[in-house]
Amino acid sequence: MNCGRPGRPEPGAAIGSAEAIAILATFTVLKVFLAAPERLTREGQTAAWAIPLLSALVSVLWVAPLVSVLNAYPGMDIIQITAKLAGRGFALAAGSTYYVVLLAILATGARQTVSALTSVALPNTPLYFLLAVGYAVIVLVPLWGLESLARATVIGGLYSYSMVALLPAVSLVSSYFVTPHRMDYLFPLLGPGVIDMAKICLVRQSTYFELLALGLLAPHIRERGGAGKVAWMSLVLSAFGSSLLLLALSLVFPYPSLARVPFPHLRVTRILGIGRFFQRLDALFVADWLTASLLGGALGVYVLGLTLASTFHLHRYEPWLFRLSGAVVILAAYSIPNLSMTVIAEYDIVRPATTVMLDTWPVSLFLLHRLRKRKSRLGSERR
Amino acid sequence: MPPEERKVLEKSPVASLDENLAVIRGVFHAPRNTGLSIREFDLVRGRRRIKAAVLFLSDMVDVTAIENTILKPLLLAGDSSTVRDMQDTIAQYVPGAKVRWGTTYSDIAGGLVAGSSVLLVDGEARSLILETRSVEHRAVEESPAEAIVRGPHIGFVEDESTNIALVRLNLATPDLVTERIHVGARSNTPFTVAYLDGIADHGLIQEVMRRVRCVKADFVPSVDALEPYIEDEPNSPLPTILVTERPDRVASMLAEGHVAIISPSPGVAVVPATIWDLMHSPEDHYLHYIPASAMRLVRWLAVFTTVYSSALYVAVTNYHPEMIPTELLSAIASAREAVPFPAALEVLAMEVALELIREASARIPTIFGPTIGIVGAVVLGQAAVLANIVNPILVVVVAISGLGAFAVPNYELAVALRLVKFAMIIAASIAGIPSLTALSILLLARLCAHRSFGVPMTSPVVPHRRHGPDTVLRGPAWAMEERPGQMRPADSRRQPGRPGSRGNVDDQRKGRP
Repeated sequence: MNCGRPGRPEPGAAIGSAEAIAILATFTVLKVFLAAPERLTREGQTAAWAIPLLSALVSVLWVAPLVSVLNAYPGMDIIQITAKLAGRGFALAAGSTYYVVLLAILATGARQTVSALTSVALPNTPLYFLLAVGYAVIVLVPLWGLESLARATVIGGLYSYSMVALLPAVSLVSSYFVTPHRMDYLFPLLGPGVIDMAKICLVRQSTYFELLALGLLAPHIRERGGAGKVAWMSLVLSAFGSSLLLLALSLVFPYPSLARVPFPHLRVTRILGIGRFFQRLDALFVADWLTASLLGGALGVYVLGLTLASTFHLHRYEPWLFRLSGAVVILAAYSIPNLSMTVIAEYDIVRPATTVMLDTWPVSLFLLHRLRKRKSRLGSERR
Repeated sequence: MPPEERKVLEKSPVASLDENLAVIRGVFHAPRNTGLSIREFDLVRGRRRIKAAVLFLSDMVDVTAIENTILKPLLLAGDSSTVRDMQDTIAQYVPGAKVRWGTTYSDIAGGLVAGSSVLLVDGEARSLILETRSVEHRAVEESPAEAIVRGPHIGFVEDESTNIALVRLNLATPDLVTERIHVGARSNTPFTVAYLDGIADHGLIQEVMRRVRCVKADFVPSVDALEPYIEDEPNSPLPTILVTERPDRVASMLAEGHVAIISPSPGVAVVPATIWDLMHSPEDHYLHYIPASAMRLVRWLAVFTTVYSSALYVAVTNYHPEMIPTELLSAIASAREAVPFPAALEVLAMEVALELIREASARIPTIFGPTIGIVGAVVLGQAAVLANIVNPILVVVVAISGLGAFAVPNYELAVALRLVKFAMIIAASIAGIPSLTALSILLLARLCAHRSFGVPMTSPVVPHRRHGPDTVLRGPAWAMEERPGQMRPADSRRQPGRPGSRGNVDDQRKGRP
């Protein structure tokens, strides 16, 4: 008999603020490795790099109420808070909607990841094979629990972020020596104009939809009232990370080209080289964004599990992880015919829908909370 | 042990010497068992003669000590009519320093198998157990597995008392507590749990004691055999317990709040162990912190070369040839032109050959040592290349990978990394860098899930806990003001803090007298 205590995921698992920040930032930023630069450039033209920064400013409008509500109800997730403030019916509706939207985003992300792999790094590799490899990761990592997932994300995220920083750095350094890099590509600075940029940023606050996962993770954060720090830091990190990477890409490609290049960051890594030894860095960066994507996928499946458990009052989420990951993989493989349709599905259908959700759910909860607080204050004064 | 025999051992001896001797003879299977020696004699008290006997296992005792400290004083004492009872007799005539009373047959049997001698007297239900153990063991010398250039050249041996003494030499404080637990129904091995009272976490001490006491095995001769019973991840090749042969390392870790398990073997277990502890070398403490940190970086590089170099070779040659310069690529291609095997098979064959050499050199008698070097270098290197079985570039890659494993300071960790290397090669042959990345994430997450006596293996980095600069790199000794936070030490400060820990230096800088 072994007298140790084998490391199983603990029901009351708790993570520190740094780990929660790593989780949310990685989860949010990984889309810049996929089709996001192409779409944002199509909309923001030469000012595409500013969209993540300005959208982050707009996102403050729903992140602040979210943080306030989460801090007001410590130990409860956003679905439980909804049930408390608006009733079980609303909680069921909100939880189910969030579940469906997140599932769609994960499936489109998975499809883009494997498409990028087959088009750039592994030509002629069957899509299903790569999805099966991904399935193993996105099932097993969440199965080992939030603590191990969070720690792996801190270490993996550190690698991803160092690469995110490295690419612009190499790009900027190379711009002095390699001809294709030009500062001219960043002008005009305001892109399509102020009004158009404002509209784009209003819609593209959905870039930060992944931050809503904080609503599910907040009860697991060890520090009391740590939700605020986690939300703001993740928002800042992901905004600057995305913006920096877009800036580097914008220096390499003129915007009409960038708007048509799928996975431009991989194209940039092909142009860049370190001396004569590493002629092309794309394989190195494949490892980087694949790390972010796989960890993001695992995080997404974990949050899906939490959502399901909280919405339908399930005691455990673990038994569902196999099915949830299976759903992501099957949706990615069969529901979308090709890459361009995947991008359209994500950026023209799913994400705009999330904008409505982001602008209503946390704000409504905040208002209901204030109303409830006021009522109880008035009630106590009357008594 | 049969249940009826176990019941006998739990009983108390009776006042009759003959009856007690008969029971003990039965327990020890005498006279078939020639190891048990019984020296019967008479104690003279006035006109009365009282029968007595000294029992011992002749192979484990110092016979001269028995003669000088038990037999001679009692036999030559003459008339002892002044003494009132057995206790008085012992107090006056037996000069042994380490004596205790036994009240059950189990005490007697336990004392005998531990090398003590037992004095039984007719009319007395108690027995006197005297320390007379004398077993030959290796002299204290440097541990070959953890040899260092600077620092003490001393290692543990196969004697538990000597091992405890070696730790006490480094920690001359009454706070060093050693608690003994016997484990193994047959081996009855003494394990000593050592910790610094007032520093080690009380919960951790209790947990270590619980786990060691919980072991219900037949034969547990050493810490290495105890390890699988008490570790958190029994099915993982990654060690979660640090086993060291150096007393200075044990002492330094006890001072951080760790708990040590000492046994009659050169390996001493220290718990909990983090991945950072496993990558530290005892020499780090004796070098200036900058070279020590540089050497730690080299060790981490060794980990990555061990795990990834061969796998990356497979990935790059099979899937990502565009990564490397054209000249190198054409050199590899021309070298591989005559080799009839796929790159993955070629690498696996060479890695297996390297493992064979390593295993053979560990088993081969020392006199044939150079032979294995010649076989390895000539046959597997040069001849394999000439025969077009492998290409010369691969020999370099595999050599680097093999060298990396030797640079890892913890043997068990190095073995685990070598296993991971094979998994990585197979992963790289499936889908190149993407499958390599997927496997790396899985292993990273698994590592992050590992705990050592409840402490996450990756702490104090993630999850973050307060700690001194002694994880990936090593900071200056005077900056290590705090004990590692993951140990939850009862006293978290290791040094008084500035200016205390290096007050003289700071004072001189600031011009204070």
